[in-house]
Amino acid sequence: MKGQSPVVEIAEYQHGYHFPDESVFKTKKGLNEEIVNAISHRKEEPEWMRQFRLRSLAAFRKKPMPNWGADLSDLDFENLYYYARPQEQQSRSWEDVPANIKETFERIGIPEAERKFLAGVGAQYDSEMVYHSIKEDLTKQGVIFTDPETAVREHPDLVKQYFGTVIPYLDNKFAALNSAVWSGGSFVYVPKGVKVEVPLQAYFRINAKSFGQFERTLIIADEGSFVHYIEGCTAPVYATESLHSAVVEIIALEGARVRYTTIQNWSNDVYNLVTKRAVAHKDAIVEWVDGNIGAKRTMKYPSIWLMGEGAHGEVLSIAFAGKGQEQDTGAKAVHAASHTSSIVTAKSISRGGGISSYRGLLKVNEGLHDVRSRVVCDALILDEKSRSNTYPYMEIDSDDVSIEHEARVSKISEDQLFYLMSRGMSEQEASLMIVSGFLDPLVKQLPMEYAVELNRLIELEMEGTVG
Amino acid sequence: MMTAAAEPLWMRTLRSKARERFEGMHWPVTSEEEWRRTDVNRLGLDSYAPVSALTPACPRETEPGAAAAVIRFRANKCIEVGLAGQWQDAGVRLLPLDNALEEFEAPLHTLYEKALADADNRFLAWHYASLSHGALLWVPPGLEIKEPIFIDFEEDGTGTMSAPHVAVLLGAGSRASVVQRIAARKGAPGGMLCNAVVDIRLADAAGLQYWEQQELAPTDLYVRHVRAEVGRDSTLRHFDAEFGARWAKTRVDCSLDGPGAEAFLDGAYYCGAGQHMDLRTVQRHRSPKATSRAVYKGAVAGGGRTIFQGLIEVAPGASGTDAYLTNRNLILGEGARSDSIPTLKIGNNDVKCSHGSTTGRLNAEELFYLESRGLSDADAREMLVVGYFEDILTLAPVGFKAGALAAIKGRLRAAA
Repeated sequence: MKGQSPVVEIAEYQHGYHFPDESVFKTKKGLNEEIVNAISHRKEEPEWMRQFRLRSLAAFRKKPMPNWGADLSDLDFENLYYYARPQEQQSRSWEDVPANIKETFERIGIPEAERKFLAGVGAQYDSEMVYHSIKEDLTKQGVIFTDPETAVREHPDLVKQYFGTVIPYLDNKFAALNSAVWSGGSFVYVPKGVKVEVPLQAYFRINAKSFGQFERTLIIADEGSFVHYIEGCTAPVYATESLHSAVVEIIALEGARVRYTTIQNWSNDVYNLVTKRAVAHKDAIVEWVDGNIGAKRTMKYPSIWLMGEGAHGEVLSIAFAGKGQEQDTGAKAVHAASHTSSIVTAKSISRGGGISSYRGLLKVNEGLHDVRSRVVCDALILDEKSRSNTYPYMEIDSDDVSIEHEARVSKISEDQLFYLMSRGMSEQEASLMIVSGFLDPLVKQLPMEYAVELNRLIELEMEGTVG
Repeated sequence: MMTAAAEPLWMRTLRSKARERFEGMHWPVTSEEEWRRTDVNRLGLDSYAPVSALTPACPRETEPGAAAAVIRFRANKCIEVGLAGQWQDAGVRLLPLDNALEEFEAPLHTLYEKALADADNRFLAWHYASLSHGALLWVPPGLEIKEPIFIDFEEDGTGTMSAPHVAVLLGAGSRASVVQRIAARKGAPGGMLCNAVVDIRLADAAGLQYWEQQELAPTDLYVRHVRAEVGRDSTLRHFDAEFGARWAKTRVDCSLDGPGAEAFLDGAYYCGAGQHMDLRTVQRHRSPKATSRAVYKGAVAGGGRTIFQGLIEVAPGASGTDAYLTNRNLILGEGARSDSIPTLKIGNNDVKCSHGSTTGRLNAEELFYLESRGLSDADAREMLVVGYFEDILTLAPVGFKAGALAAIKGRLRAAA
């Protein structure tokens, strides 16, 4: 890895740590009933969850691979581990977290101040939450922020009521896979009227060779509540492929507001095939902020089902496709009630032969009134080897609607470059400034520390793009 | 196929090749993206029998009048053909297809072989196997024909499949404007399948305007493919006005093959109750420095179903591409369904590509304003709908524009 590409070197330097695999329990490669039962047994799950997993496994086998989207031909389901558990006990406080995991967090750069002040840090090492702390006042407010295994044990009624209702196990092949082998993730319940002032955060990290990670996140925002959940991930670099296939379900009950922010920076050998869907009931607001920078292949289309009058949905998505990467991302908004609105803003950058695709669905069911939607896609292609696709689907079955869609694909304008360079900037600096400006609407939506991290990542990705 | 023996060998060979392709293919299924929203397997396509092929035409000679040329078909027979004397002398040809197969063997053979090689669905293979009637237009290099050329198909049949065909070959630097109408014969019982193809090939610096209007019977099925190859510095302006048939699937596939090529693919459609229309445009940029625009505007009444699927595809080497695609849908009543899928596939960075789509209903304030001036609700609606369509028809020949707007008004009144 000498010389040629500074981007790769820096990227590896930044995220390429790999600690010895210390998983305590690990299933064999491949997937069958035995492994699913072993996972369920290991987690000491009730029978209904074991049955759910087995039904999901059957669905996974039956469901076809998607015949669209990113190229998944190299993905071998039989050559993956489906479960590994790093430690016997879940750590209760920061002091109990093993030193090598702490070191990992150190290197990702979770600032010291953040650890102290953030409400809860659920950090995932391999498949399970290893560290989980919830600030006392949140607990007092009745907010539940835990891993889904604990939720199954301690809040079975809530889990039974909502688990798998937004994304049924039959939904698609990857959702079925996740439903069969899920492990770790987050479970959030915000009681009526409670506004969680600080974002809840979870860091995910993959750290075992050929290891699949199947988080299951369920967020329930009860009437009139508010929560901002942030999921960020950076992963060590491996030579063999890893599969990450999460399922995220959000339920925003009447008048609730949920914002879910992801900055995904998996290493460039990860398949990131994620199903994320939210339902917004009457007067509820759901916002997805979704940044995809890493991974070899991404297929991710955060969705919002607007089920009640007055519901509003928003998706802000960016994708950065570099060498060898295919970012097949987008958004879906399904209007199933009158007086609902949605906004989708998608921005993508392709460089170094990368492919970025926007794939979206905007659907308005029959017999609705006063439905508004606006979808805007902007794409920048930085060099002649790279590609950009846009596939927006609009299915409108009602008459009282106002639907707008626009998309643009272009390169960095030579006029803009010339102007900036005439002010004394190098081409590199000028390009970076233009790209930063292009992404600005997204970056502005992020909490400060994420904005800083994202800007740093973009800077890294942009190095070596000129000349 | 009584006339098969009369056809030149190359055409007979081509037909049997097409027949083989047809036999080897299945009807499009909904797992194919282009056909996902249009299920042909409930249409009973196998029950439609092809009408006999290329009946030798002994059309009446006619004076084209104000037009440069005219050719008319009734069912699968050419009944009338006329070409102004000056164009006849200059080498222009407008012929019933069967009379053109020998004189234009070389270009037609090449064109059809390629069409068959590219055929990606069974309707196309079926068309070439069962090509039933049609016209060839040839304009020699350098000629500029200002007056329109009329090609008129009066379709008639029940339980049959007709395969009308038009081949347009423009020599380098020539110009022509074609107005084509496919309509059901007045009083025709309906119930036919019309499987039409228009093959267009423009040599360098040629210019073609092609204005199409379809008004088949409410029980007919309609499939139509336009295949256009636009050469260096050439311009194609294609307009598709779709009104008739209970089920229509059309595609305009335009490839821009030389620098400076331009394509304008526009369309207007009115989809009434019980109609299903699935329209597709493809702007295929294969060469650097070409420009294309597609603007499709539709109105969908309650109980109507439209699908617009547009694609801009830019090849990796096609730098300096400037392409635009837009689709607008006006929804006129409850129970209307309208899907809009404008897609981009961009394989290089030196491009300016964009697309847009809007779907909405008539502006309530505008309606209120007109009604407050004493217009009835129906008149006010008609005025707004006509106004909505008028702007994409500004460049149309006067007669074509009037015909299209009359069809829209007629449909609105029938629905009211």
